[in-house]
Amino acid sequence: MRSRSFIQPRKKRLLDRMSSLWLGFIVLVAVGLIVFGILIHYKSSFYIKMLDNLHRQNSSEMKKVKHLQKEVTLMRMQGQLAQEVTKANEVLKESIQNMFDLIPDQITLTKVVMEKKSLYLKGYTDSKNSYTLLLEPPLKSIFTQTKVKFSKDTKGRTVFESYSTIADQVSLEDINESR
Amino acid sequence: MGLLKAIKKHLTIQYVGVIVHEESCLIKTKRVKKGKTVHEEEKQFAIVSKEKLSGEVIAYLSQLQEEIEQTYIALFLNSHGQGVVPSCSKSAYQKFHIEYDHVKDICVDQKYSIYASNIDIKWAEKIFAKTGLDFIFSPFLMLDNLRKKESRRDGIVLYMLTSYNSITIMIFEKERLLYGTFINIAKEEDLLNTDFTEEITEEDDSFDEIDLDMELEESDVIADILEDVKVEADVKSSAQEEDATIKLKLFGQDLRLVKYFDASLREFYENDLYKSDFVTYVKIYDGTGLNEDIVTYLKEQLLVDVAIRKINIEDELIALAVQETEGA
Repeated sequence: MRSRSFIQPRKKRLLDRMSSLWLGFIVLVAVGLIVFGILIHYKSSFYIKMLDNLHRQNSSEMKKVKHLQKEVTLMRMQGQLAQEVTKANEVLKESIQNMFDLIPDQITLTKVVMEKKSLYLKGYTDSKNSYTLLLEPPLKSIFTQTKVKFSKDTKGRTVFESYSTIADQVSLEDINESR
Repeated sequence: MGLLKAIKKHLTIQYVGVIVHEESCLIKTKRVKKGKTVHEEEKQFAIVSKEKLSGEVIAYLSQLQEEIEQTYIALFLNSHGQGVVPSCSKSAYQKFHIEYDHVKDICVDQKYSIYASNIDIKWAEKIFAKTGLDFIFSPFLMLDNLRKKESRRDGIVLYMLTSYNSITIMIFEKERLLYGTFINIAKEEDLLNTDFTEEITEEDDSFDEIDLDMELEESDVIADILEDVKVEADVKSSAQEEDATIKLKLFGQDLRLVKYFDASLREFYENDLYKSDFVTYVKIYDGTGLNEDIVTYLKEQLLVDVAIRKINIEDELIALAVQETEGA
């Protein structure tokens, strides 16, 4: 509709000065709060993501640690085992050394079977006496039972076969024999 | 836009109708909220001249506007530099010897246009410079607004709006405007803008009180005018007879009203610029409380039906402002 007044009406503000000031202030504060809120939201989501990542990393690290712990225990066991083996080897070496120390010059060994609780020796000897005098006493001192068997080989040399055992082995054999 | 309208609905809108007379300023305030009038106030201030509003008026208007942001101030334009032209075209203005460049025109219903001189609009803007002004309404617009509420009448109908210091006349044939004039009756000089009034102005010697004899003399003149216009010859005698019996007592302003009314009618009948025929019905919108004698006199003089409706100019002014703000 065309204006029927000779002049145009002045533009009216919807609110008076004070109200519009207040409204402006409130809107400004609201916008500020919203922006702040958005900022915090982004920041927190960022931290949450980071935390998530850290959790994931942590769990994988924990898995690794467990794996490593297993490996360590395994290695420890292996080490112990190795130590035991070396110790046993040393003991064995010593006992072999000792055994060879026991053998006098008059006797020549052809076969040695060493077991944990028994010793089988086979060899030549000058005479029965040299065996009974030189080898039997130390054997008897170490083992609880010693059996010996003499024979002659084709060249006429005296061959001996001795079998010595430590106590319980003997008792077992005894039991076998008694049967 | 819808939101703005929705918010506006809940605001209190204040309409201020201002009518500036020569020595007084009438201000009516109406506050409307959700289509309901919540407050009405009417005040009158004395002013020194039409050229300047008093400090009191300015303070009052400023205070009103401070109280309510949505305030529309409407002015009833009652300076004589205005009129109506029965066409909206620029050429019609030339025909009526009105300098188109010096007036502001408003086309009404694409049928006729009302105009006011730039000087008068500047005057209004100047005196309201400190308070602000939203609308300047022409009395023609108010009269047209009142007229449109009437049921249509056949023949030529004269509508007249009377205010404290002015009369506005519009003559219609159905919806076609034939003639319109605005006259400030506060002072005799204001008649100068009608170009045929010399013989009437000559007679403004005494207006203090006119007794019957004086009135008879006066009505003789009017009767002469009417005779000139070739109204039936017996008008004169009947007028004289009636005047004698009615005992008219007309004072300065009332008398001027009658004189100018007659003069206008004569111009309508005589001037070739207007397509004229006899007025068959007169409707007066009375904003001042007309002297009953005037009404009787007019009835007798014109020999037509005269209907009067009392109106309140301020209320009508505010009604125009409401229409304008709600239509926009």
